[in-house]
Amino acid sequence: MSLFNQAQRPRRKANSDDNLIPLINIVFLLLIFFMIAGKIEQIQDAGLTLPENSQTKPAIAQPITLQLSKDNEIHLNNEVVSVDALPEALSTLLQEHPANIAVRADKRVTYQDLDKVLVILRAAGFSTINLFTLTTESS
Amino acid sequence: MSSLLLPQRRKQSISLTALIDVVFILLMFFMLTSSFTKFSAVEMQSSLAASVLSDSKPQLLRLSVDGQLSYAQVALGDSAALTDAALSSEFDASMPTVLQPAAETQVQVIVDALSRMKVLGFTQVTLGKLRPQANAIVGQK
Repeated sequence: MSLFNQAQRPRRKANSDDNLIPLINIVFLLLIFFMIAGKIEQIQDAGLTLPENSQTKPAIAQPITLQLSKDNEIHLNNEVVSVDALPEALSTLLQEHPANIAVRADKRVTYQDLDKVLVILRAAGFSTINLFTLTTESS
Repeated sequence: MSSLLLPQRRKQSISLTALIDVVFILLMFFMLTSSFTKFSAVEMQSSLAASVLSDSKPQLLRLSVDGQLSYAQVALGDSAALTDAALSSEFDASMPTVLQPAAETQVQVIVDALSRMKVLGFTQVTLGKLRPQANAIVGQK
């Protein structure tokens, strides 16, 4: 009997930290999930609701982004630009970057307003225009 | 010698409270900054690039406010909505194609039409200019 007692390891004193271990396990799991699954990116939102689509290909970030809100307010790389000042602003940007542009238009914008912007973009010499959409699950 | 002078240190385990403080701060940071929205894009050739790619005249398609595609050459009242099968048989997918949306068409409808064309294999789709006469007819309706 005494032998058995000797063989048994002495019990560690209960530590208040022991209770934290399951908590830390879960918090670490959450941390790893958000680190891997999430993507840190600049939020570009001028109150836009982008059109939804399930079949378009993943977007590639473009150096020039033009946002067209429901009220026809134009943001060029997060700066408000009027329609009249747009050609000049685009020509200075075009000198620095290749001829691709991302257009983020609100889904309620009508074509007559979008066309005004597209005409200016064509005149500025952009060869490819990427119309951004939100990816939804295909049903 | 030095071991004699220095007081003997007891082996101390690291307090977990400090660790969890830091981990919580990291967790908050990643929870607040990360985003899970996925963006995609519909690519359009501008008319500038399309004209370089091909000398031939582009095919014209009209897009109505409710998202129906029809022949652009036919008068607005006569044109019936084209089905997917009609689109692939009547039009050449490798040729440059110009969509002419009506003035009041919303971007959501245009994006749906563009992605429908992409699925059917049309590679060079672009948006055409507004036609003033088409607007007039839409306005009368």
